[in-house]
Amino acid sequence: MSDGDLPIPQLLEETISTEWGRLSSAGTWWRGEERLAIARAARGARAGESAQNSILSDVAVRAVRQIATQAHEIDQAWVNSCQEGGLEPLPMLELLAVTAKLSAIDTFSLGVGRQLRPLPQPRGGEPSQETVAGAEIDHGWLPTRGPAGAPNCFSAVSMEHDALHELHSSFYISLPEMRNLELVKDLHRSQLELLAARTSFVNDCFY
Amino acid sequence: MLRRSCKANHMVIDMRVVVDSTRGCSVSNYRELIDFTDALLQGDNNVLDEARGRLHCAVGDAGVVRAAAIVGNFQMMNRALDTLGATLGEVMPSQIRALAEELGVDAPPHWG
Repeated sequence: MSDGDLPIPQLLEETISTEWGRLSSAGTWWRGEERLAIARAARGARAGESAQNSILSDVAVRAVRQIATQAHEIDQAWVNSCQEGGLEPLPMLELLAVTAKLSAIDTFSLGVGRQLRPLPQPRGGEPSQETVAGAEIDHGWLPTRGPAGAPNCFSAVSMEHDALHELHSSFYISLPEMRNLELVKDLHRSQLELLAARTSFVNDCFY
Repeated sequence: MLRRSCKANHMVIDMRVVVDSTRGCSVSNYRELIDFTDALLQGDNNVLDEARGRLHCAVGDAGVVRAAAIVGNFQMMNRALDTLGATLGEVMPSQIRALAEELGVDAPPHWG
């Protein structure tokens, strides 16, 4: 089972394709080529490479590398230092979303025995700079709509909020499915939760 | 959620298996699932190939694909929640504190 020949359900393939389209396109605070630079920096950090020249600022590259490889060591002081370095909260939230979602897709690829999917070519367009009413610091270090927690991690950047829920539903379970403790989704719910708990333990994520 | 799902399915679980993989567990194929998770996060291709093969024997194509997706999803969620500084309220819920003590896991300072 090392040659990537596992049949991948259409929904998962579509989710990844959709996300690849998002990755290459202008977001809310970053252009497509900048989002791809975030992705390259994240992959480089995970591969143990030193930081490369990038169109991103030094503080943005530093933030990507930390999130990609040592997120469990992040604290309020580190988030503040990023902002003092010029990385504003909402662009930082989008940078976090791009880095985190890529981690999901790359991990999945390796898990099913595939190579990492080549990054797409950037598309044109300018960031929308759309803001979300009611987004503010609420029990966290970056803005959210409502108290910071799993369902609304990226809620202050609406396109990333939608993307997170699509990925979460496709890869794991949807919010309605969450209530079904006897769910079978290829694996039994107890097996799904054991995988989730073990991953969080290895990543030293207390949440 | 692991404990709740086991309880709902009348399974007894020693939660310490999450932090100590030498312990037993009533979740089907727990050994293969844990080994696959560890191998995937460790990044050694040879170890991963072996762990994937053993998991495949236990749960088949769809089970392996779903396992890879779950680990991927929590790679995303862990990074998001850690960077966001998310907690479960201003005061840590008592059941979370009790579980952390049971597992011997220290809460980050911002959890109060």
